Amino acid sequence: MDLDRIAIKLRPRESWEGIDLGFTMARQWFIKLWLIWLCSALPVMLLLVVLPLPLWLAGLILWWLKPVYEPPLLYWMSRRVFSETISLRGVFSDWRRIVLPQLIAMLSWRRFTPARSFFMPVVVLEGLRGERRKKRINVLAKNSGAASWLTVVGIHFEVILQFGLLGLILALIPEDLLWTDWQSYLFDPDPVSEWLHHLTALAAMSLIAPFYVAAGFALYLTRRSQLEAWDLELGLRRMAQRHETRPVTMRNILLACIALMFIGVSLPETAQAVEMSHQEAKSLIQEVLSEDAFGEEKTVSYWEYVGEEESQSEEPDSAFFRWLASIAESIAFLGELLLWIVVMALLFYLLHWYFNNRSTLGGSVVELRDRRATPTIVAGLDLRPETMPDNPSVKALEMIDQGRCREGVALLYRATLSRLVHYYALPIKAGDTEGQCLDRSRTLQIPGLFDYLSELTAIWQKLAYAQHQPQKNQLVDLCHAWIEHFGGRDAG
Amino acid sequence: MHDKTSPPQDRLDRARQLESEIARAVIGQQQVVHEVVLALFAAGHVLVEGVPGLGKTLLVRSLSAAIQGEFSRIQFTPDLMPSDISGHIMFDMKSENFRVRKGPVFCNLLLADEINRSPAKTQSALLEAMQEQQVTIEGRTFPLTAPFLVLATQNPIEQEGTYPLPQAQLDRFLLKVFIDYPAEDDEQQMVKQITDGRVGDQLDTSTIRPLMSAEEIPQIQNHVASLKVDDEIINYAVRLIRAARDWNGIEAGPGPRGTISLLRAARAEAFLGERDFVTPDDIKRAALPVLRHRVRLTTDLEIEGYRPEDVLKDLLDNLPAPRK
Repeated sequence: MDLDRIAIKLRPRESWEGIDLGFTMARQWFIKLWLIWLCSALPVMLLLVVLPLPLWLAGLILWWLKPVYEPPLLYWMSRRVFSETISLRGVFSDWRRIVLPQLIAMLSWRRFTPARSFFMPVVVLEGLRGERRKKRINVLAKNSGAASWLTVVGIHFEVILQFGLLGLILALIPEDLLWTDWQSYLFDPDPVSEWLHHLTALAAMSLIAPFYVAAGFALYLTRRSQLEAWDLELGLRRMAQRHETRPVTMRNILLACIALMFIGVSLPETAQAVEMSHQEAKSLIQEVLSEDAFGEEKTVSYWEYVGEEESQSEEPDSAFFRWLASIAESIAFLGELLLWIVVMALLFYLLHWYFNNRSTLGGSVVELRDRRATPTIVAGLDLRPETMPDNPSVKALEMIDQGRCREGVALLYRATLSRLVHYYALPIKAGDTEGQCLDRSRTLQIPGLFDYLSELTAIWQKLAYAQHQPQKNQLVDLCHAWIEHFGGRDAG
Repeated sequence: MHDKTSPPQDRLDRARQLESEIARAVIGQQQVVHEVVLALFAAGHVLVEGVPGLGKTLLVRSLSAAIQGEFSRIQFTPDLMPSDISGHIMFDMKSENFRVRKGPVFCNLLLADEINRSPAKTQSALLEAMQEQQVTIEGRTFPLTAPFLVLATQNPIEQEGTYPLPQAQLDRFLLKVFIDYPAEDDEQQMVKQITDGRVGDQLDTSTIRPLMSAEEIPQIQNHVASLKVDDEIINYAVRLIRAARDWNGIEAGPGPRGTISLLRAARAEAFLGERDFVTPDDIKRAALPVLRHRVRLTTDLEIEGYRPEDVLKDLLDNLPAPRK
């Protein structure tokens, strides 16, 4: 690393300025960086097209392998920053050396490191691993917060860019040729939509990657420049170059030495060549330290309370404050009470709702059959059990014997619906016709019941809507069969 | 059946077999076939909405083959003239007389393809024939032969440059039927059946057995029209239509013609259900195809993507059915 050849201006920078520097670098060299990224990612994409993988898996792999595409960019930039131009061929001839070390780690447990771009130079450029890498990262860690934010923002921009590209493509396709819409695209994509998704993802990743890597690298340079005072070293080197042609005073040299002592870098070669006795150096140091720049004193004044601490237990002295406190307590108590009432009401409502909807929540039919439901009026008919005679089939039989067949069948049908609603918890709607009630009863799956209901419904419909008088023995059979199906229970 | 003038039982049975017979050629469209047969027996016309290539022509050809009726097809285009439908008078040079040249409307089954592609004047020529069952050419009136069923189609996708049918004209169709893509198995069976040993893309209705003659259809229609409808059922139909006028989400409801159409369709349902009386189930089954083109939803529901069927289903679920 030759700092003299560095192509960026070194100065102390904040993290965000560092990211700005990275973006400037990315803009400056965008085409090269973009091509390098594509050269890494496109073969992977083509391989995924050929392999018989599910499309979602292909997309995931393409995204997961990002740490494979990024190191060549960093490598090229690290050379370019120090004014060394390297061709694409040169980058990829060193590919194994750049990418393969620690690839497994980068693709597994380090894949989700938020400051990936910032720490990548430690691995790729410094080649550190294990404990040394860890220590190095601990030293550099100051900028990792900004690097994490860089990743977060990068992800967002990538998604926005991808969907922007998708929107553009879909908007440019004539409506007649459009094979999908956003809803289908997002929730039920066809293979063409999935490939379009992956292609736009690739495009978005390729556009964001140069900025991401360059910003991470710039953060790394900024941090190292801070830690190792590259700017000062560079400044001193330039000073030294200037003084090579002039007489060098001892005082200037000493100043440079002291400055370097403070910043902890190696001395410039010109300074190392000076020889001086210990005593002379000490007196000179004293002289330098006594100057204004080192010996400045400041007096700062501020106020500080030095009296006795007041007691913390402050009770409201006045009756007003006591009254106010009691009011507040009462309000708090009422609030708590109200909250408990709301909670209990909610609980009660939930229980009530649960018991009313047990059939739809998978409750057992047998349990429901034994349950006495709340009396209700269903479908405009009074189906309350208490409105039924004690034994509807016997009552219907009596009516039929008296020649009131229509009334008898009507009672039998009403009682049947009542039983279906209250004992079998059959959900019948107000608008359900006889046919729909019959269809719903099919779900009960009780042997013989559906056949019985079919016969009863057919007879009832003929009687009600066509005034067809059924044969008496048919009706008598229906009443007897009713007892078999529903008869063992009280009606009311 | 219920009176002495009813057609013989075997004719009624053959009429009821129409549906299954047509379904042998038109595979995977049972509901559409059912509704078209329903319209035939109810002496109504059908508006079919669906994308091209779903077998609408095959359906009408199959029906025509099954009842041995005359079939015509008119492709509606922007430059189609009323006389292209009804016919015109031409001067015959040989006989030196004016001769009437009857248009394609003189048939039993007419497929009016993409009716909304022609301007209102041309549409109304057909709609008049549908309503009056007669055609006037140069002042002379010619009655149409019964049965006369128009199956008009609309393409729901390509709406550019079309002339949507106004509500008053939509009302003349007894049913509006949606024809959708068939299920995968049905489509596979259909493709196999149609392509095996066939050259070109001509429609094959050779598998259809002629079940009855076109002349028998009016007798069946008369029989259907005389099926018993209880007052409760009429009351239910009227309540249904009246509720549709005031139902939340419906801006314009059906008129009395809707009630009449509903009862006609319900009678045909009862006939196909092998009953001689109408039940509330028949009304419910017929309600959607009869009413879906007779209601207009409010703008906010349309914007939210609701269809008339959604609102009508809600209405049918909530309107108490008659129980005596």
